[in-house]
Amino acid sequence: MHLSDDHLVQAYLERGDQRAFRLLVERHQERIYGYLLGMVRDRSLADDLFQETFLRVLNAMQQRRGAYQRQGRWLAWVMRIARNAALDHLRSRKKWQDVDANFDEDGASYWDRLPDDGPAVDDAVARMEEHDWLEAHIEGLPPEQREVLLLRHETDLTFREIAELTGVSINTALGRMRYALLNLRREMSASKKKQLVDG
Amino acid sequence: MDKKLHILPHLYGEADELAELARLLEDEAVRREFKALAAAKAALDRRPPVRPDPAVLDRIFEAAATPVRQDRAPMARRARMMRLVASVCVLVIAVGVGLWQFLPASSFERASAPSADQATDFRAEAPASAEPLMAMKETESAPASAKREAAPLAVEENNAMASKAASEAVEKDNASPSRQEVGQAAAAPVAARVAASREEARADAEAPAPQGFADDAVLAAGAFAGEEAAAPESLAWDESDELLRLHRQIELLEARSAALAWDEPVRPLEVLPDPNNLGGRRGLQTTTGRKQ
Repeated sequence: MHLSDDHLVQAYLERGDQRAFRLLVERHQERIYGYLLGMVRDRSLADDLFQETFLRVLNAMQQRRGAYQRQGRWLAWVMRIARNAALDHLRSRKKWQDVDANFDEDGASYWDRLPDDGPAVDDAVARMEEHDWLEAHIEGLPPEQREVLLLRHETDLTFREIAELTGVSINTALGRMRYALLNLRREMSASKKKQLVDG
Repeated sequence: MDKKLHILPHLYGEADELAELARLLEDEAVRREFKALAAAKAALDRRPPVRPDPAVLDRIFEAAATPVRQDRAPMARRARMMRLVASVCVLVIAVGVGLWQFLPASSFERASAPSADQATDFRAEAPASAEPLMAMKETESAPASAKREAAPLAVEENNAMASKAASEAVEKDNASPSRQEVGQAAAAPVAARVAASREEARADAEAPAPQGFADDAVLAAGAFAGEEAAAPESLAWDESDELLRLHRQIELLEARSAALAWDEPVRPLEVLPDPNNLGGRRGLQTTTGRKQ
């Protein structure tokens, strides 16, 4: 029998059911951890943030602070906490530097800075595994696009939930996602990564 | 919504109206973009899932088994108590500072402020003491350059008022003496002597000074300064003789200093007149001579 997130939360809070909480974590660990790892690109750091996220979640649930309102969106609530933890860390490390999607100081667009299909790219691609190649290019996306892409692909939140979580309109979230996918697609074609292009 | 944005919810299965998707894909540009986006999505979907370190999961489950951060409640209570104590301290300090600033000042003002009766008495006594007060007021309020000019003027005004008072006192000798009139009458002999001294000083000033000795007033001032030092420390207003003597000296200095100019050539001290004997010997005196 598949228990919903709300049922598991209720079981943990009202009866102290540890198995319910364990099931919740195991159900969503890949989504949350995938998002955190995509944001910080460091496994040990992602582990720390994952633990910090769930300690905050436990604290909030047990003390009924900032509490989850049982609207069937427990994952979105946890993702908000995870995002805050990640942004806190990135701000403290000053790694969260916005990239102007249009033009920066020297007038060059972000897209102009992406590697072209010259021999250097081919060499780099040749050295990378397929997975690493993709991860590296996800990391190279502008932060706003990367975050939407990670939230949609890793956590499986809907575009509307992503828009609420990041505080932007649904059109902005969709636009960021579209540019992220097109940029990745362009990189795939440019690197002649046939396996990626053809699927 | 833009067509190219609208295909994204379809791509990710958030919109399940296939008829709408088919209508969108009728556009060739939209169809090409849909293919490109689908290829990128497929590549992303093939990424293997990542999981956290099992040790991290164990720590989380351990934390979930025990009440989370039980130490937070006492800390919060202690923080509330500290906040309350700090607020009380700030309030007490604020009240104390307020009392210290306002209460002593108001009591001092009450103690030092003259009462209405005192002010009335002061105004009633004003005519008897108006002359010296006016002179002092003039000299104190004027700037340094104006003080030297204002002082003799005030003295002259003082004398004129005293003379007027004396004449009025003579005219009203049959009238019953009021408090003011008694004061004016007492000032009459003083005024007469002041007028006489003014005449003497004027005559002295009009007398020709020794040739080339225009600076003798400076030495005279020094002599007068010595005399002032020898004068009694505090003069009473009824010591008319001393007052007249000082007034005469001042007028003499004024008359002699009228001819002084700053751009005159320097003269040796020997040719300057003896301040103790303005009409006779010249030059500096030896110590023995000074002692004699």
